[in-house]
Amino acid sequence: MKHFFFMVVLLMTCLLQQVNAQDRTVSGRVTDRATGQGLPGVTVLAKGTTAGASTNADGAFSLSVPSAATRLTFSYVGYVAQELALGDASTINVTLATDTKQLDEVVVTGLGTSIARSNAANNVASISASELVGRTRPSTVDAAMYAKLSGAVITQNSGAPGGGISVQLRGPSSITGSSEPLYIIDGVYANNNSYDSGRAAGAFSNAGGSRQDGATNRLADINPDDIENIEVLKGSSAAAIYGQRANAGVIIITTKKGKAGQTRISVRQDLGVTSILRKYGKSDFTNEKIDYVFGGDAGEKAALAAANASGKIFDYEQEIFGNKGFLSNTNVNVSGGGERVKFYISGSRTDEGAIQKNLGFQRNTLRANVSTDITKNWDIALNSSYVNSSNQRGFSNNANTDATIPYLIAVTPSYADLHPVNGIYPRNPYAGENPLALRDRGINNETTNRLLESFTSNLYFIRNEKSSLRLAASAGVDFALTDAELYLPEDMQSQSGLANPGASRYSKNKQLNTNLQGLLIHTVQLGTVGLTTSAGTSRFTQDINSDFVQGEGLQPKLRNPARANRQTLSQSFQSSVDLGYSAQEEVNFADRVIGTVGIRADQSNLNADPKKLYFFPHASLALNVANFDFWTFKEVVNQVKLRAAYGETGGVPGFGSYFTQLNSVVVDTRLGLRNSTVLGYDRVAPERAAELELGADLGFLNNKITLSGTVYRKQVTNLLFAYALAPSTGVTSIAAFPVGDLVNRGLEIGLGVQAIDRPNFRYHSQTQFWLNRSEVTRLVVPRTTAGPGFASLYGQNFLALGESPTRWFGNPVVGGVPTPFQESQPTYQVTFANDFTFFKHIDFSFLIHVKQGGYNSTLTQNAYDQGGTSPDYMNPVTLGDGTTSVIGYERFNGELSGQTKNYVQDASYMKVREVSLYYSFDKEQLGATMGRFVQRIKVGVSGNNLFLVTPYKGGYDPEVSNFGSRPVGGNQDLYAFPSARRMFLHLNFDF
Amino acid sequence: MLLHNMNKTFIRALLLGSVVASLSGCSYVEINKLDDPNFPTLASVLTNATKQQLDYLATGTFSDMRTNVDGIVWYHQLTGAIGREVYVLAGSDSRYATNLLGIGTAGFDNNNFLSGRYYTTYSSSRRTARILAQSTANTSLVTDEQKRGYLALAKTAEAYDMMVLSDLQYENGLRIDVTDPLKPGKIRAYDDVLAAIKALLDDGAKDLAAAGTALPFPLPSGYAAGTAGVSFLTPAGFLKVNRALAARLAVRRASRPNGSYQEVLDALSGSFINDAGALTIGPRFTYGGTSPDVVNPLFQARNFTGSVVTVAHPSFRRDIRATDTRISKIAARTAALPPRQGFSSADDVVLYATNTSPIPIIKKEELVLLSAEAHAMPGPQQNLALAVTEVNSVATAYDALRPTPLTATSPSADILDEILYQRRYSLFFEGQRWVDLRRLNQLNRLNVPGTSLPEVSSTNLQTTIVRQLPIPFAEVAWDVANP
Repeated sequence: MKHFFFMVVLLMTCLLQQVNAQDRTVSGRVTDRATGQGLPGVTVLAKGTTAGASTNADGAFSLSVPSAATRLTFSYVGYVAQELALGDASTINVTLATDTKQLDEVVVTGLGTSIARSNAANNVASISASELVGRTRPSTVDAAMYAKLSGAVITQNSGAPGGGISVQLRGPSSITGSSEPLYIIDGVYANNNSYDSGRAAGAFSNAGGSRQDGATNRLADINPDDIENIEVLKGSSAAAIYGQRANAGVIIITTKKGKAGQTRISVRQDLGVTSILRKYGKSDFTNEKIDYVFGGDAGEKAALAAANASGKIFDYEQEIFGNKGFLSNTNVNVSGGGERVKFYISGSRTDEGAIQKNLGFQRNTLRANVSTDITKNWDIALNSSYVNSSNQRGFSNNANTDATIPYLIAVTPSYADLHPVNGIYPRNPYAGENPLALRDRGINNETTNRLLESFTSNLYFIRNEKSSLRLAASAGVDFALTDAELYLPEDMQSQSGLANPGASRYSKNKQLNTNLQGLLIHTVQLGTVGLTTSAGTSRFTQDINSDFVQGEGLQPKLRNPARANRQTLSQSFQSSVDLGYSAQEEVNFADRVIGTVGIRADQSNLNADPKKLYFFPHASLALNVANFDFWTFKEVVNQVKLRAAYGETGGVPGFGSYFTQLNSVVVDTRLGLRNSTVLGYDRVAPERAAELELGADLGFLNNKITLSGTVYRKQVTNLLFAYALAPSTGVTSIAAFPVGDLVNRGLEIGLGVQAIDRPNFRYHSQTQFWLNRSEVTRLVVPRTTAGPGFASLYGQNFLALGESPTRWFGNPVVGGVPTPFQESQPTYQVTFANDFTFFKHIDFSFLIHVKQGGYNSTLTQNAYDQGGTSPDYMNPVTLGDGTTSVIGYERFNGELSGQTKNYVQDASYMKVREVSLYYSFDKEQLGATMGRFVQRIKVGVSGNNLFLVTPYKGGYDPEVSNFGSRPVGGNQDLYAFPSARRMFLHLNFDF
Repeated sequence: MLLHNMNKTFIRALLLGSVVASLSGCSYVEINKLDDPNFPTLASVLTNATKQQLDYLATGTFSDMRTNVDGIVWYHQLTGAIGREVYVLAGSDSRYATNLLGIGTAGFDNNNFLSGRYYTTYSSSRRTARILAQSTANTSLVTDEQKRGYLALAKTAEAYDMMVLSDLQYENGLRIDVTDPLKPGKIRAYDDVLAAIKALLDDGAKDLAAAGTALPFPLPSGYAAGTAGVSFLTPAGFLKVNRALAARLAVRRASRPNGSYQEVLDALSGSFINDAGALTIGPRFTYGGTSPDVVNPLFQARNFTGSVVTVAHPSFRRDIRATDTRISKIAARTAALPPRQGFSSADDVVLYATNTSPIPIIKKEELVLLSAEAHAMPGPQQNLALAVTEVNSVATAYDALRPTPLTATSPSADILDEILYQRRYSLFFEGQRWVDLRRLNQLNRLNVPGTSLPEVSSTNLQTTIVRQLPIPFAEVAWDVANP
């Protein structure tokens, strides 16, 4: 994309200079060979000159051609470029064929450099705008990446509205640190943080720490409609140039930019409805069941009889999660440009309801991407965006006060009537809270205001056909202010028993990321050898300032914590500065042999020694066998590329890893100091990963069939993890200690088939298959629990030599050694994307995602068994002594209970991620009147997460993480919010 | 167009120059080690601490004895539930029942919150006291007399923490040497642990004797006459607390090798057993309602129906004498909880009226009953008449005399039974009953009358009595890795 953009820039500046030299005008239209539709934004160049133009929304172009020109070239991302003799014609119409594997697309190789995909030495995944949101409309960018990235494990933490999705590339690369990739949006080191809302704090749900409050991640702020392209540097070998922040990979997001030519207005309106994807189900009660669940309690039997007599049997799952939420997404953008200034301006509003009343997600965005050429050798661009996003997430996940709706649904029998009478919600005798009161009265909201600004400048010192030298400077700012509100009124059941009933918390998280980068980039073509040299420096700072005011013991009907009986204040500061230096050399021998070597040196004050430079080298080689002269069957096999890449990256320690603190305490209003059970590590240094990636890319029949295979071995050394000490010393751990090494091995295969390519029927399918295996290969500390977990019985992850850190271990514990159970990482994943075009106007597509294997630790079914509401509770089971019983009772507290296998459950699934059907009206069909204003109208219907097939009985959705986004210890299901199915009606207008 | 016509070389030079200047400018390459912006550091108190810093550590030590919410709840819930003084009924977490009431064959999980949290918090509390001791030793900014005061507090507090830990770990033992977290000593046997606690208390007593007439640090209000009933604010006063704890320890040693009931009486003689005042006088943990102070975590509102509810064990009401005024420690619930894991109770525990009510550390009545026990047991110190007088003094105060009153000629077993009855109701839910029955080898008293096992749940689960808590997983793992 960058090359394309740069070419347009170059083009326009040159046009300015040569405006007097032209002598004739050529016009015409560029259309898609298969569909016949006009292609907007195609670059038209008069070969050998600098004259060029770009097509408008309908594919039309008009170009002033110098007399010297004899040929025109037409190029467009995703299509095979064409070159035509000019002749004497003044009108030239061209059809372009799709390039099924987009071989002319460029992929990032360095901080300021890129390379044609056909020459890349890494399996760099990319997702185009049409793949991202062209079929249907997921609410966040990460949700839109589902099933489109091989090598990735993407998991939603719960179905609650507003995001909360974890992306893990090529296995875990840290245990305690973030395994989330680094997100770069138009050069800005973007904030993808998750801020604790406090929902897990004592006053609300008392779930405890370890991020159990179901936070969202800040990627939810980005409007997917603004994205032109996403490139994913999955492993260290591709991401090495990003140094100490790239251990978990790098995701580079490029937003849409204006193109020279006619101003285009595009309007998109999506209307939809959301409903629960998969109900857990329930079962009603009988006296016999009361014997099992309540020990035959006579009061319960009387209550059941009364409810049956009056017909007051309820389905709380349906009542609470049966809501149909309304979805609306409006997006308007205006783009275009003149000779020197180009712009893309967009505004959007997303307003999504949820499957539970009162919950939802809203996002309002404004973006202006403007670039200008100050001189023909100096261009600048400013990409500016403002976001206001908010969500209402309610109460789900772990709660030791029972303030979590999915748990309350599980343990409340259907004969209990919890409906409000005259506005008063009755107490729930079966648990600590009334789920209807929690739905209607509990508040868990978050609002973010965010500014993302990126500035880039390219200044050329040398610029000719053979060589160029430029200074590429960029600066970025990402400022986010997130306000969260939590409120449980004083008369709610879970509050009323507390010493200070009624709790509210108002949190503010202020985060500022800034980055500066300067690079000198030199390119030179010496005969058939192209050399690209780049060297530069970058600086990244991050400041986080978090505070909250919490009130307990609220005034009736008043949320303000300042009026509460007891206030808690919190203030926390975090800051860091990273400084990096990089150099890289790329060599291209006639597109046959392409090699790269480079190094990055980084320092950070998150490391114990902030002055110390850590070095991260990389090298790669790609061999395009089919481009050698001896390859004589290029018509059949047009590409044979063998590639190898090696690179190293780092992971910075968390803030404060080298501090040993004392905690503050007060008795009788007198301040005191007390021990902290965690020690800092005064020599803490980055975790490191070294990856070797090998692969082969094959293209047959001019890329009608493409096959790509990649294997990698990524070794993470000096994993930072809490070094568990004997707790009797008063110290439980050293916060971040280099405890050992971990190896991830994996395989990624992609197969693309352009099965049919006729004018009236096109069919393309893309299949991806991938898997990853992890193993701890060195451990200097005792076998230790890795990641949060509830107990050995329910399954826990361990760091143990020769084992995967994500494998479950559980009871029985023999001689201190727990029994191994299944792996939480998938055995493999497969996606199957299919696009059909009928009669040039009808587009149909579907995307299927299969995750095979991968087990969850779940306590959700346990809650249903506890409440006697599991759908299979009364299924008969024969016990060891030959007597019969029912399975729910036996699982919960009978013969089958106390077994880890009840809790570690197969979380395989098949999801129909996306299905869409569109019809496009082109200008001709719209007729003379309408066609004068409207270039194109596209209408369609689509579904997102339409179907789920799974053996999983542990909860609503096998995709879950009670503890939020984390490399190890996710995949735990404790009363997660159910997932939603989304169905849309789409209307797109292009003017 | 103006820019276009300017001297390009000039512009480039200017730009490059400004970029280089800004990059090499002081702020771009500057990168400094961070200071902790959020917390005071340990290093700041370890050398030449000021008196103010030592006072802060002293306050922290006092605060940590009550463990700031977490530990003290586990301590009371674990001892209370295992000792069948209370039920901890959890709707959502069956482990409260299976672990505490000894259900099933899996045994007490050594890697969960029930087996881990009290251990971590009391061990942390112990380390706070050790940091106070270390900082005191490493400073020259206070007088020797003041140092003895700080050291006495540190030793007494650590002894208290170790006693709680050893009550729960019992014959699993405990590490005594924990000076270096990276090189801790081995886990030592229970009798060695008791001896080490005794040495700490005795050293603390010696320090107090040399601490002059005033303690250098402020004491919480729970040690002042207003809350405690008698003032423990001076070295002489604090010594009485130290000796009371020594007596509690001594009775644990008395039934073990090297212990004796004379040691109980010796310790009691220095305690506040003879101070004027009600049987309930004694130092208390105090709680303030204002953040960042904490509230009394054992307080629970009446008729609470939350996720985890502590209720009185049904045997409290079943076994209490008709006129015993200590029935006021429980109160009937207006609505019974539906059975949780098959357990239920009709009574709330109402020891604490509000969430700022103080929690007793050790009370005069415990001392009187310790004295009675020492006098009741065989040995040179035996004095059955005195034992009867002492136990009856407690019984009389609560209108709870034995139906057949004891006399000086009553069998000593009856006298001991009576002492255990009075301890059960006087020290209800204070962590003593389970320990008492265990040290006197009478855990079978917790069985259902007339049967050989404790209660069965209404869902037909047989309970058993847990004898001691398992050594936490991380302790075991450390020793496996560091043999």
